Amino acid sequence: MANVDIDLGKYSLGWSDPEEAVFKPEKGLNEDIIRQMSAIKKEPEWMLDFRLKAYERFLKKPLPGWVAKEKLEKLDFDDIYYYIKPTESQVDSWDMVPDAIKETYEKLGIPEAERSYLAGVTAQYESEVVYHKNREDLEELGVIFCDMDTAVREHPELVQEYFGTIIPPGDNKFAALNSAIWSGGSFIYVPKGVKVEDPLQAYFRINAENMGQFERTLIILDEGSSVHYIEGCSAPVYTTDALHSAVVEIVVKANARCRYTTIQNWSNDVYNLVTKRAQAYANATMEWIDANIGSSLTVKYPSVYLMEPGAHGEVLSVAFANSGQHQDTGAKMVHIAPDTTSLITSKSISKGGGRGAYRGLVRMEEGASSSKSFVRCDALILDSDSRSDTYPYMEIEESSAEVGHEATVSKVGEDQLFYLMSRGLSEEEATSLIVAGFVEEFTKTLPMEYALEFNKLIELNMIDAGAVG
Amino acid sequence: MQVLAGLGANKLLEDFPLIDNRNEDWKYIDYPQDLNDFETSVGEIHEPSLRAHIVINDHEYKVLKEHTDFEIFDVETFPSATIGNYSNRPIDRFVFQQKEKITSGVIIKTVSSTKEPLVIEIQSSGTNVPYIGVIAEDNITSSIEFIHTESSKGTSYPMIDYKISNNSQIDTYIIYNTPKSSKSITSFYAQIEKDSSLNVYCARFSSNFTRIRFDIDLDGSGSNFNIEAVYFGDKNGLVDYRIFVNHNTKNTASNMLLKGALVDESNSVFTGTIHIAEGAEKTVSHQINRNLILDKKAKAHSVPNLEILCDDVICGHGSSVGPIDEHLFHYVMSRGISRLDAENLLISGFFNEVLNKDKWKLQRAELLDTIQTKYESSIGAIKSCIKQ
Repeated sequence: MANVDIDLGKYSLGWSDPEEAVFKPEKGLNEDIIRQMSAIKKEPEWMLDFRLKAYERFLKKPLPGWVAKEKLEKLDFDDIYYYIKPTESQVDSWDMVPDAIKETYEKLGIPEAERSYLAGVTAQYESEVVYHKNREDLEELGVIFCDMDTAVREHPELVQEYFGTIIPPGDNKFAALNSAIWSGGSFIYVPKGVKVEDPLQAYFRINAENMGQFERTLIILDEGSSVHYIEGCSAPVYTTDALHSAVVEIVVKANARCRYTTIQNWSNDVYNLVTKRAQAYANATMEWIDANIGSSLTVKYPSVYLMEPGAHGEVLSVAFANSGQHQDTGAKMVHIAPDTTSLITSKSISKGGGRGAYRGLVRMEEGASSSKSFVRCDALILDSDSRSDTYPYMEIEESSAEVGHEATVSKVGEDQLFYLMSRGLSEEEATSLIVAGFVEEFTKTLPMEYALEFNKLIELNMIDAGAVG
Repeated sequence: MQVLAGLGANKLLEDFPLIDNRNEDWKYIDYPQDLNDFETSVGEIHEPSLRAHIVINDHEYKVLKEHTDFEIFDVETFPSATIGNYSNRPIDRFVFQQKEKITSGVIIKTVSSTKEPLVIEIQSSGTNVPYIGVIAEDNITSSIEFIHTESSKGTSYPMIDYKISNNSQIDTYIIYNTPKSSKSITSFYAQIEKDSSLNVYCARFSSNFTRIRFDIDLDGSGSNFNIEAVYFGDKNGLVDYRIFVNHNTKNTASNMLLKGALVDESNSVFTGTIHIAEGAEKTVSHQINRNLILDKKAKAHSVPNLEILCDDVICGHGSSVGPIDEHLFHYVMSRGISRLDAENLLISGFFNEVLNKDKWKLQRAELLDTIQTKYESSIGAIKSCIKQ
């Protein structure tokens, strides 16, 4: 397929910046695009093979029939750009980042975040990581934090050992799609015993109309290490559908601890279909902290496979479904070894005709003796047009395992509103405050800037259904 | 048969997809192999229990004794389609076959209020599909009891339809205490009108395959549906509950409390959906499923779903699966009671949360006895499971 020259910057919807992409193939996906992309990235042969096999799987796999069928059927796989390379090469200094890209980041607040304390920045702009910086002391400790493409080139032995093993391409249609056309994403390796004190951060956004974003993240924590990774997403408002289909694989070895925080704030037309899975080994802890705001459809169930005794998994998720949005989120905990524990806390808010759903699975395999799991789902429905669903699957094949599940669905209490309004707050402000309180459990896990930004997003969602993006 | 004329009209068996485990409604179970196109058959007739007013077997239904508060009609000759609001009722390949293959059926109409239940014994030796329609008129308080006993040796696929008019309350007991050879799949549909309630009390002690699916439409304001259930699974028995409650209008309520204990290689499934339709404000709904797993090979699957399409509702569900809490053991054993006796006590206590209620007073003693017998016969297995 020939490269197509596009007159960039010819539209100005939302605050999307003029595009300056250097390579932009046509819409749609075929083997040629995959080969061409792999060649541009100078990938080894095995990766190209992996991609092509995954592409075959993608073609064969049906769309899932059990979630948001109507919306998924509207997805036109031939009407999407699968790979765009935004700048000629990566840069390692903020000054070298093109101005247009910088401005976008400034609107998202990245420079401040970086200046304050964040350890490293990998910002994904369109498909390729364009800016990436590692703090020197991290490098000294042997921590590798780079984009996935660099990792394939520079750390092939590590990548090859784990890539596609936690989430094989055949797992589901969208994992297959990602495996075929993945681009960008982060790679983190933390060596034995190393504890990364400050969070590592990457900021994603989509900027080309009708562009899919298929980042691939692989995190490997060696024994006794720990890391907190923060992934934030933001996309400007477009009128046509964009597809975001990421795959995140994490291996948490014995006694290690990983926290993966996501704040996703997609524009209202994005399909966000993500597969996230971690394997936790002996006495390791894996925590997914996940906020989903915006998007037309989000389908995401972060999961933890508890492979060895003492492993612990946690998912804390918040979903805000506003007008026209369907948030189908949840968590999966698969207990394979004895004495493993897990905790799922889910908070969903539906407003203006939005649909929020919790769909989760707790599975106790035979032999997962004395394992324990608890699931708590709370839903808040803010008006009579909205919808809230809860689908908690519990499959228990082990007698000594203990599993509990509690869920409540309610609206904002009249008495709470009365209490706040009698102190001079408007109904809107009062509701906003109550919603912020409802999700506080989530907010308090975030670093301060993120907590502020998140509360701001909630506020914006409360005021005007279409304003966030 | 006019009563069921509207159900799956103009459809053929081939129009329905095959029943298999991938289908959400049939997940987690090994259902009888021939379920996709079963055949009815007849076997011997057993002596009915003394309490029964009506007995239904492979051949026919028989009225054994009169109950003055009910009128009984043959489904074949019943004049009108008073029962089914079939536009709402879900129909799959199994329900369609039930309708096509009914072996005998009765329509029961309440005449006056009563506290004395009408007892219907469902027997089987071959494979039968009994139909029981219940029509409750306005302002009636009444009670019906379905019993499956030692005489349910074969396979039975009962189809039960309720239509409850305004301001009535119907208590329904469904008791299974069947032998190992017994299999049963029940489809239970109810349409409940204004200010009426249906209370179902279900006890299942079965060593084989029992499945019951409820589809409840709460169509009238002030209507409500309650189910309290206890089950004790042993051998390689399956206790399968699928409960779908549709709150179609304002001010409706539903309450589910299901408690079960599992020993040997038994298996329990509870899936249910509370669906609160658009505009069904002021709905109150609670769904609780508790499973005690007392044996290494026992399994439980619990999927309590909620679908809520409006605000201003109170809705909650909880479910748990696990062995008896160690704290409870500690509490009881610190009073000088042995581990095994403590377990026995705690199991009784677990079930008593349900059985101690007034509505169970007629059945309580017998049910606790059955639980005790089942428990004692599995005690060897339980011992091996106790944590030292």
